[in-house]
Amino acid sequence: MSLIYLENISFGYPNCGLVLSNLDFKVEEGEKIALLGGNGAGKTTLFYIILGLLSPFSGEVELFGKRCITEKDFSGPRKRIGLLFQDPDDQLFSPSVIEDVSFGPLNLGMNRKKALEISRYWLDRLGILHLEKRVPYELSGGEKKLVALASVLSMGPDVLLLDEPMAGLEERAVERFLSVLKDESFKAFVVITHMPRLLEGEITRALFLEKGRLSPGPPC
Amino acid sequence: MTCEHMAQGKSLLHRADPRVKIMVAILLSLEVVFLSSLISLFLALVSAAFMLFSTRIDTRLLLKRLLVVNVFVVLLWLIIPFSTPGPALFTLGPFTLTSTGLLLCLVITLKCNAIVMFNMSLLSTSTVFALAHALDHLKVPSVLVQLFFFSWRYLHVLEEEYMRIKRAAVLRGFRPGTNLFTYRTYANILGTLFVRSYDRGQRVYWAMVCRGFDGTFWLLQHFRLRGTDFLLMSFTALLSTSLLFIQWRS
Amino acid sequence: MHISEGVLSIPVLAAGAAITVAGLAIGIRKVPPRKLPKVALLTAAFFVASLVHVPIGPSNAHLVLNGLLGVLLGWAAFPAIFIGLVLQAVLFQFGGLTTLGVNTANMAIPGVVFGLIARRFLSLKMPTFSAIVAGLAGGMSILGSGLLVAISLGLSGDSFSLVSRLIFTAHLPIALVEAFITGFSIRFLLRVRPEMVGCTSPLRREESAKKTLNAALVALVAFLMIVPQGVQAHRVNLFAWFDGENIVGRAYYSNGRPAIEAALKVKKEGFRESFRLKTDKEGRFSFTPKGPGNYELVLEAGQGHMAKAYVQVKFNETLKTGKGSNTTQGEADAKGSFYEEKERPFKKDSVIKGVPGSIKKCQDMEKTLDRLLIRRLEPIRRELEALAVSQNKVTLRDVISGVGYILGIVGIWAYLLSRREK
Ligand SMILES: Nc1ncnc2c1ncn2[C@@H]1O[C@H](COP(=O)(O)OP(=O)(O)OP(=O)(O)O)[C@@H](O)[C@H]1O
Ligand SMILES: [Mg+2]
Repeated sequence: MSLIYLENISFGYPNCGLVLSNLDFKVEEGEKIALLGGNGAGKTTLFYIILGLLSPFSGEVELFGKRCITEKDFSGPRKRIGLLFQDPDDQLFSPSVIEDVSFGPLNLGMNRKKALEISRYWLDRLGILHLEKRVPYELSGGEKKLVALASVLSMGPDVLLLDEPMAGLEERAVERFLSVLKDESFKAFVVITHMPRLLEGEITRALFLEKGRLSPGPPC
Repeated sequence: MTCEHMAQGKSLLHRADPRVKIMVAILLSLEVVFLSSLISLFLALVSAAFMLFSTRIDTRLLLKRLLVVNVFVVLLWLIIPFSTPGPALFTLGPFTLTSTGLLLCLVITLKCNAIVMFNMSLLSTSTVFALAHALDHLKVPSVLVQLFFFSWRYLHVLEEEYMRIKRAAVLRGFRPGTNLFTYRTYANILGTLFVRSYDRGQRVYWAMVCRGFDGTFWLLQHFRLRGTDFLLMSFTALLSTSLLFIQWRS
Repeated sequence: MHISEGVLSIPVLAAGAAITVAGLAIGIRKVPPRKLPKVALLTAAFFVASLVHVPIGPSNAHLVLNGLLGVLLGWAAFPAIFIGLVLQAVLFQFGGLTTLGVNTANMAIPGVVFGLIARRFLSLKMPTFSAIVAGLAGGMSILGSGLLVAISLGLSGDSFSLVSRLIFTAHLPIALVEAFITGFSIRFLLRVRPEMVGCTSPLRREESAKKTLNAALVALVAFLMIVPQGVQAHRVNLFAWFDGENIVGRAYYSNGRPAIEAALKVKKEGFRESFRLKTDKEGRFSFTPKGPGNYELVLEAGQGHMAKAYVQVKFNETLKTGKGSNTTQGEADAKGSFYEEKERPFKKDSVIKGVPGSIKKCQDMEKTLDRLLIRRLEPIRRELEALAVSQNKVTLRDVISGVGYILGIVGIWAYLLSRREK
């Protein structure tokens, strides 16, 4: 069983041609994938399609071995697949960092105490526990990115989809992020990045998105 | 431009529970509206000013804000005393100054400034998020509270976006004037802003859905009443009863 | 345009608050969780837009864009405008808590009405036409706001009549600018993101019928708010009558206060010349007319307050004998001056003077007295009538507040219902 299985996906936005055309994509357990591609190639769009946020013109989406079509089909898998948005401002909306990070766990039905505990753990893991009480919109770009990452990780996802997680991060922050990827036992992750060299040694394969299709990318 | 300048501070009112502050602000504002005797209005104004100065917010900022509020009041002073029927004080050409009009203006000025000062010292000394939390605790419909804090949350992002677009336009030689081109340019800038906000709204919702959002918001911040709050409550009780008392006596 | 704190009367504030509660209750129901972030983001965008100053001639104005908000959000514009005003109150201290209701209603009602109407005409195929319709909606929304602001002030007291007229006039140039900006914005959005204007999926018939109904409802509310303005047009009332001897009367404002020392111009039909007199401290006046005929009385109370009254003077034949002295007096006066001003319009003893001695004539006299009484009571009756009329105006105001209250209660009910649905 593949964790994520896309077959023959086509998609385009209104009034601009096809972004993805007849695309196939498969993620097996244990795979660590880097997704590369030029600006506007459709990488972010692909993530949205995987999670059912956009519906493809044609093709099938299968998550954890189940065919997903309706909104309801997606709601289960969404809790197991963590998506980090490209712009952390899209993701952070709570009055304080800790509330934002515990938003996910609370929605999963955890009690308040447990949710706070888990949130603090992840903030600490990423080295930003001191930001706990701060207001998310007042943080710097890199800090926002880390908080957004913590808010995804705190849900305890099996699969991670990360949209440019390292953009704007300082060296130490990148290191902490990589150590999280290495130490935690995620079943699989896909990372969109423009700097594949930073991920050297952390990934099993690279894919290149071009003209709406995926092709094996340069080995790292 | 859209910063919570007044919310920064350590004064008694800054530290008070926003739930209490909201209730007190509503109570006092409503009461002032009902007052009509000059003495009670003066008392209201004086106590409002006292509260405002106890917050120790920068006086220049306070005065600037009050000045803006009073622009409308000044307009009224220029017109109402002459347009109100009543016993004439003196006549100046076609204009007759009436004492009824003057009294009305005085009442309006006192009321307006008292209410705005209460508002400033009680509401503006809390952060918007604290107010949103407090409103939620006060059982205001959740959709309204969410709209309130979401709007506030993205205000800065959008403002920055607007400034970026505008700056780019200005850098490319855009000079606003009274002409259709200017209006069309503004419309395009604003249209861009709306499109971006719309898309962002979409993505924010997606981000929430991805984290298991199903319509409920969870509150983490809880308020506890403290000494400060009881002090504020008793002050309010004293003030409002004495205002009513004076009003009834006169 | 914001109305400041402390200006409006309590019924107006209450009605505004009630209407806003109703609007919010409806608006909230149109914001499902799915749409909430979008509405909030657009609210924020409009808040930012309202900080934009656009040049008009030598001055500049900040945008309101309630029409555009209505086009984009429909009923959800109500909560959006409300939130915008709350934020302004908290951040900039423009306005406060008590006027929140009135100000929201004044901006949101025209925005929602014209927005919902304009939406039905927007189409991808006719971008220019759509832009013009949207522009009209934008301009009309501002005019509607200006009108509602003027009405709120006008209903709060006669003193604000001039201010409200000035404020309405100040809205005219802004309406023009907003019309252009709204029109151009809609054209932009139709080109770039037509689904924002609801143009990708053709409106289902059912839905558009519902929308029309909603628009009609709001139009009704707006109409109810506008009507009393016309009723209120006559600000000063003049009542005059002939009591068989003098023309007496009273002048007062529609709120019941007398028009003190107001100038009264009297003209007799068929005569060129007129004469003037002033009302006394109670707004009363009295003078002796010269002979029978029709008299025109014009009261000028300043600031364009004007009232007219016509009095027919007819000396009753039967009374003439009984009040012989009066007739002669009138004739005598006519030689000296055109009129005679008097302190007391009623001379009680003058009637008794003419009483004949014989008992036979007693019954006659009784009849005369009866008729006289009726005549004397006539003005009181008329004044009572007039009072009823002026009371009527107060009732109309009450009707508006009443409508507001009803709407408010309906709104709360709708809100509770929506809660239960969840
Ligand atoms: N909401 C939208 N409406 C219309 N077109 C869109 C929208 N979002 C994206 N596009 C277009 O779709 C294409 C793919 O966008 P996408 O965001 O997936 O690119 P990307 O690969 O993530 O690029 P980047 O590396 O710059 O993030 C782009 O050409 C973009 O212009
Ligand atoms: Mg991208």
